[in-house]
Amino acid sequence: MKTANSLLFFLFCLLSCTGGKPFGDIEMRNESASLFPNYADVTIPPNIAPLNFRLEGEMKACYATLTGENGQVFSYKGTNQIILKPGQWKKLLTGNTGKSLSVTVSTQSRDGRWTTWQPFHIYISPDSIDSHLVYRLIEPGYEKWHIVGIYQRNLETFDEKPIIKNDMTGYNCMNCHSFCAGDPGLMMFHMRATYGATYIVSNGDISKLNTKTDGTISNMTYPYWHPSGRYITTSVNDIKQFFHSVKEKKMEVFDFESDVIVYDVERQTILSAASIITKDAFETFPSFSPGGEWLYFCSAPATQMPESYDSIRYNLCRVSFDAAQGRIGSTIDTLVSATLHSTTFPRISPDGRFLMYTETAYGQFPIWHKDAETRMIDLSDCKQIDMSVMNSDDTDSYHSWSRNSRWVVVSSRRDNGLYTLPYLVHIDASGHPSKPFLLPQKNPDMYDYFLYSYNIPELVTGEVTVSPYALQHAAQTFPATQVRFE
Amino acid sequence: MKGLLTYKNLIFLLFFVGSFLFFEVNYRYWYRFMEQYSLFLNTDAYFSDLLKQVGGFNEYLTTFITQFFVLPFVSSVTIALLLTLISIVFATYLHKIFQFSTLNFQLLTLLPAFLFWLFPVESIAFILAVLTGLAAALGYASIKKPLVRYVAGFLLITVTYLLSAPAYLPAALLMTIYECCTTTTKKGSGYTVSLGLLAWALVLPLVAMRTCYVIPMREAYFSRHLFHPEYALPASFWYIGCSFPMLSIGVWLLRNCRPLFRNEKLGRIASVSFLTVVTVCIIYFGKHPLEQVYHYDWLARNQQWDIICEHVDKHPVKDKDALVYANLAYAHTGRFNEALLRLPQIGDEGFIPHDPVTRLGLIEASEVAWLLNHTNSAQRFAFVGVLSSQRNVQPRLMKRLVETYLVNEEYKAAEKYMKILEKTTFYKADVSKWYKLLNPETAAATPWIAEKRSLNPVTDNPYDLTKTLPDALAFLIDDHSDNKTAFEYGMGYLLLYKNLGAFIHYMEQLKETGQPLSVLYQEAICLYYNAVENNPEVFHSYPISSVVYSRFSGYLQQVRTLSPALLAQQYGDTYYYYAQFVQPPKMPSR
Repeated sequence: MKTANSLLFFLFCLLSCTGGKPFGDIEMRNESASLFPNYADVTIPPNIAPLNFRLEGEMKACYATLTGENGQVFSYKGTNQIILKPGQWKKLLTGNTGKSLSVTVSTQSRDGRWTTWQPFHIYISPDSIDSHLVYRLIEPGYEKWHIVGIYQRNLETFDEKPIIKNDMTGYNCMNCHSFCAGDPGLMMFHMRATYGATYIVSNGDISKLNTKTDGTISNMTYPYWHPSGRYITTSVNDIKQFFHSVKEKKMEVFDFESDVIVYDVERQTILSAASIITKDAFETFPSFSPGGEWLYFCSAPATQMPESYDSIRYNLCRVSFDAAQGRIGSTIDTLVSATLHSTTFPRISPDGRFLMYTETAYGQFPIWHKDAETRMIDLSDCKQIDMSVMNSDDTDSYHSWSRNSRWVVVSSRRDNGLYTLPYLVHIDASGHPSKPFLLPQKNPDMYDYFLYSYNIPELVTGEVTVSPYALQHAAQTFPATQVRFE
Repeated sequence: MKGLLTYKNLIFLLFFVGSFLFFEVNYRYWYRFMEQYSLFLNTDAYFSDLLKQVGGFNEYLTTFITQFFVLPFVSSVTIALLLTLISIVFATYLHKIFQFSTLNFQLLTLLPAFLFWLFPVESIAFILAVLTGLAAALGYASIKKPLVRYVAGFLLITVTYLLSAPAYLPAALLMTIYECCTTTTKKGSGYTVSLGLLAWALVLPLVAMRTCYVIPMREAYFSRHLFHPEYALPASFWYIGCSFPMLSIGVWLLRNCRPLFRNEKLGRIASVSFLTVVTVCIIYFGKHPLEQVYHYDWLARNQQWDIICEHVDKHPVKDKDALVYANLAYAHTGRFNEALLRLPQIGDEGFIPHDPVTRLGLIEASEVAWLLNHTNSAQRFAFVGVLSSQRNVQPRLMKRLVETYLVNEEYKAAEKYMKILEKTTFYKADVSKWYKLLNPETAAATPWIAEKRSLNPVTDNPYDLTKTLPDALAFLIDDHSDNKTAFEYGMGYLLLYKNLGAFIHYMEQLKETGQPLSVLYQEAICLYYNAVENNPEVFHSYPISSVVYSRFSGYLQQVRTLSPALLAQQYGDTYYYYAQFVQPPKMPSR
């Protein structure tokens, strides 16, 4: 009897152990499983880290089969997560570049029944994305911060490293990191309060600058590098904020005044001949064209603030820039007129063809504006491109181009309406966006417990190699060089 | 020996009971308050993320234990137990070195643990780290074979560093002392090894900074979890941390001294008596200065506003934070009028903290804003309270965030915090109730949400409750005259500052509703129409009771004839007396 029992138990175990594969009477569903992040039918670069995902809902187990068009098949099981093996994922990507992966997902309910859901596809673009993403992690927030840091993430793996964290520099504020044409060796960022200065890192050499001059209204604020690496254009802003009382709005960030300036990195001088310093207009968020011959910026007629906070609208303008002479032209073109909406964050694709910007009902700081959406103009014919696939019903704001102009990272609050997360979007040769997908993480639950926003995500072509300790040392010991204004 | 063991146990038992009483009597609500500043998540990721940090395992244990501090007696029992264990382990360690059996040293081993009474720590992270360090040192001292002990020493320092920094520091120091003091060690190798252990402990964080972690030096040495990283390490950290090696050295120096009592029995009685007296004295005099406000905060957290009022009725309000809770409790329960002049009012800051940045201030500001139905402000202060806390978590304020997001129909943001809270032991019950409220229709039909929504501000304004209270209150009342708490708060503010003109403006509105007027309001109306505006017709349109009116008439007749003391005795509880004779709090400068 005892032997028979043992035999029965062994048989039961044998039948039960199917390697996690669905077995028995499997229900086939003609609807998609609910995933987080939602990677169904997205276009991804061939050098992206594994798209680990979680299946939503109550379940006992889950199972996924990834099938490449070239015939490669890999299967994974889990409780409610599918964690892909990096090696197998890489094989799938390299073996199916330009093709699709089909992903079939099955879930086992608590009562043991399996359901197989409608397969979804992942298209592997032949266009690579820049290898690294640099962002600031900060609590989304109001007037206070606690721990802030600028980090870099290798998009091909899950490695994240700090570039500098404020717990190394007296818990000050640090912001507005910017790279010259995606070059990890040429970057700048600001620190405020303790060790307040603008820091420029050029191939390992660190400069610490005091950028407030008698000729400008503030320190440098929102920067953008000239492709030559010689100039940085930034706005100078007298920034204020207030908090709303009604539920539809949270807070408002606005400028009492602002100008756009150009800073000569070599001469450590702000060039008045290349700056747009006016009393009758607020200029902000400048950027250079990839060739460096145009300076783009947002401009609104000067008005009384904060009274006009919800009626001020910024035009998207440009002016020619002579890099050899370090001066701007005399004619300002208005590319997008702010009749109904306001524009901000103009960014030209590195191939010079597309101008991406953010549109919002008013103002130039759309992070708390749920209506903020990404817009794009094809500069070859100055027509708007339909970006509805890329936008969401929540805030879509900052964006950065990949060097090959085929990828964009965009800040969006679509996941929870509060924390800004980075979404990657493929832009095809004619400018049409694909469905955005959330930056993959090793543990797909990570975003659930993460209490930071990804601020100013910038795509860069490699790893930033300057040591955080070198930056800390520079902040704590270097004297700040006063920049000139001429 | 048997007697000594019994005596030893009695000493430790006394200390345990004393510790329990000390923390239960004086710090019960303080530790319930501190429980809010850690958040233990029942997830693998929480464990693995902490394990990757210097001293992360210690933090894991700390948050695991701390979550139970919401239960009665748990914090007191836990801390008493940990402190007693520290004393036992330290005594055993000293015994390993000196083999002492005298009474003097037995009491001395309690001294470091007593320091935790004098400098109560905010979280048990430090206590656990000390205990781990002592346990490592004791483990080291228990190994007989020198070579094995040396190897174990280096390993123990490394492991305690990674798991429980700064436990490795007392561990290394005590290992060094052990090597230097024990006579069984060959002196030469003992000194070399002790120096090596100490050097390894000092170098290890620097090695870690260059190889594993990118962290500030303070975090590398002391971990980020023990104290709020933005503030300097408290002096008590050094006092307590250094007490163990100092005491060890002291005992070594005094090892050959003769005991105070030659008669062992007499010595035991004296020791026990001394310990008892000291314990009772410290328990009696060691009250936490802010225990009242932490008590009120606990009651506010559990929405027991009536009990706050009952307590204030019987006990004096001791500080401005307690006053905020007292004012709010009375206003929320509709009894502000009877208590306004009785409480030691200090003006704006007694109503809501000014531009709060402290833990308590942010919680209070959020509570006040929430009960005044200024949902955006309640959310904002809760949010800042979460992010500025030591560990970037604050479950009580996270709950408030969920509530505010539900009221403001921001369901995805509410769900974000619900997902976190549902992984906790004690907050998940609330979350399970809230999940159904993510359905807009269910939320709209839920009474508390419907009420909050109906009282939410509709006129946008930039006034900050904590900076411009009267302006912000005016908008709240003007938007919704049925916002009772805001109304009581607003009228209380106006009466406190004797702004009868504005007060009468609101009374005219209140009169229209036909609601009965409180005695305080009636007294103020009597005063206004007697001293400011002589309009009998309007005055008689107010429902003033004959009792109030006749008392006011009596006051008018007697105010010039009665002595100040008698006047105060007879009319000191009336508004007209306050208005005429009591200096209002200083107006805040804006």
